[in-house]
Amino acid sequence: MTTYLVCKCHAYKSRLLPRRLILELASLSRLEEFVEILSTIYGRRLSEAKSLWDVEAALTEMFIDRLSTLLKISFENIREFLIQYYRRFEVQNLIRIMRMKIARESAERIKELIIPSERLGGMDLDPFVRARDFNEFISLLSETMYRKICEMEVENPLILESMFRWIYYRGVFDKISKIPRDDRRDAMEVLGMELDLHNIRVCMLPMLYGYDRRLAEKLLIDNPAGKSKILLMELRSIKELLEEFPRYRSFIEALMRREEWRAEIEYFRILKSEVDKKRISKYISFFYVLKYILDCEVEYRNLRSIAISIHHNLPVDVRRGLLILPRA
Amino acid sequence: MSLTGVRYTKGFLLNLKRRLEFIRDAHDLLEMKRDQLMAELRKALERFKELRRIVEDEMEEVCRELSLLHSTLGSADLETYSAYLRGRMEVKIIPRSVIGVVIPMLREIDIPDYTNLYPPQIIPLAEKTSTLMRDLAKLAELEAYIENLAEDLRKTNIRVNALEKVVIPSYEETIRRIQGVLDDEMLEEIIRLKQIKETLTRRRAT
Repeated sequence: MTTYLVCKCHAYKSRLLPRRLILELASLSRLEEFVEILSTIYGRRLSEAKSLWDVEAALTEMFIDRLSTLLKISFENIREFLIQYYRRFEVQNLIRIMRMKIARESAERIKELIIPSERLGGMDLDPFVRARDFNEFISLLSETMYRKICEMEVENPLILESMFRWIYYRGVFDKISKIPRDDRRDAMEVLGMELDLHNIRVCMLPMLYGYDRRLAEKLLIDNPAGKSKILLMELRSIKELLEEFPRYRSFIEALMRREEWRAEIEYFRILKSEVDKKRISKYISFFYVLKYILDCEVEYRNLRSIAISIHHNLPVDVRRGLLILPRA
Repeated sequence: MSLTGVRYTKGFLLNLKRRLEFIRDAHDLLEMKRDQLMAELRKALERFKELRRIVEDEMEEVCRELSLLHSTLGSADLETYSAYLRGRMEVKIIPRSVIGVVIPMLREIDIPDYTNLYPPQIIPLAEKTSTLMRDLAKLAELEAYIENLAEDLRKTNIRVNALEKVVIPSYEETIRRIQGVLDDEMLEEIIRLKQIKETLTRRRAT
């Protein structure tokens, strides 16, 4: 059954936008032109978009559609793994809801900010959105897989965010056994890279922004497929970080320059380039599904970035620099 | 303009002369104040130009950082980041007097701390915005200082001109007139005394 899913992914992959078209879209001067050109590919939902907010919502819908399609055509173990893998969007939503609950925002406003993660097999987030306050939000977590969070007494919400991510990654690593044996190592490697990059960013907080070292240590997430927390805690300078993680040099350098936006792009460039390296050897493996999911996310992020940079009227060369593109 | 209630007496004349001297001193003093205000204003304008250039550069940088971050993270994430901000920017202002001009002075600018609180993605933007807010407050202080200085300079100028062109000439004119009348009276008195003397001499001779 995995082969069927992989073949479908190959078919779906052909529907993703080519590099040339992405670059052309990035050189448009008006959001209306962007919507008009993209509507022919993305359909009616995008053509009805009137504002930047609508465009972003339509792109998110399309992205979630693509991911949910994979769930519909996958079975048993793979489906179980994918649901857990997709929980990253649920975690992203929960973090957003938590932030907005702290800011005492209305349920209506929060609804506008979250993505429809329940279509990816996630839990219904409506009770969380409707929670009266932050305390009720936390108490609602007691009946979910995130129950560990409500047992904690934490002052700093950054630690809670880190806990959400820790629970998510622990869950994904637990479900690794559900995917074909040959793909487990590669999938673990990609997840390990994600965690390494997250941990590097956390490690650099005291060096760059004077954050409390003990807080940074609490924000680190255990990485069974990468560098351990103990090793990371021992790294005290950027030089040591660069020596320990030479393949993340571009990411670390972006952080050194305090260009968080560039670091965000480098994060995806590194992941994409590592995943792309395996595209030939993993051509008919489950790993290709993970590659397709990453490609979908990259396209979603690229299109969203283009729409927003057109809205801000950024120069074309800057817009192109914000894209996560494979090397020509 | 002429003074009212003028009495053509020597006492009044002396009083007027004393007042004119006092007015001249006041005029000199006001002229000195005007020059000082001008110098102060020129210096403040130089500082303002420099600070405004810095603020404009910072503003541009914040806008650039914001649009780049917005493009990379998307609207939803960017909007939720600000939720962790505790407290709000507060500025304490105390009035200060410079050459008699009351100006607002920013005693302290309290900008909420974001260290150990913000997700890393937003910190550079928070840092830049924080510096911009601090400099904007300083710029506003300087602008108010310049406005008050300029207003005081305008008033001082009006006073100096009024003294120079109206008050002093009218005093001088009045003094001249009183002096003239008193001189005429004195001449009349002398002639009258001379006539009396002549009459008395003629009477004695007859």
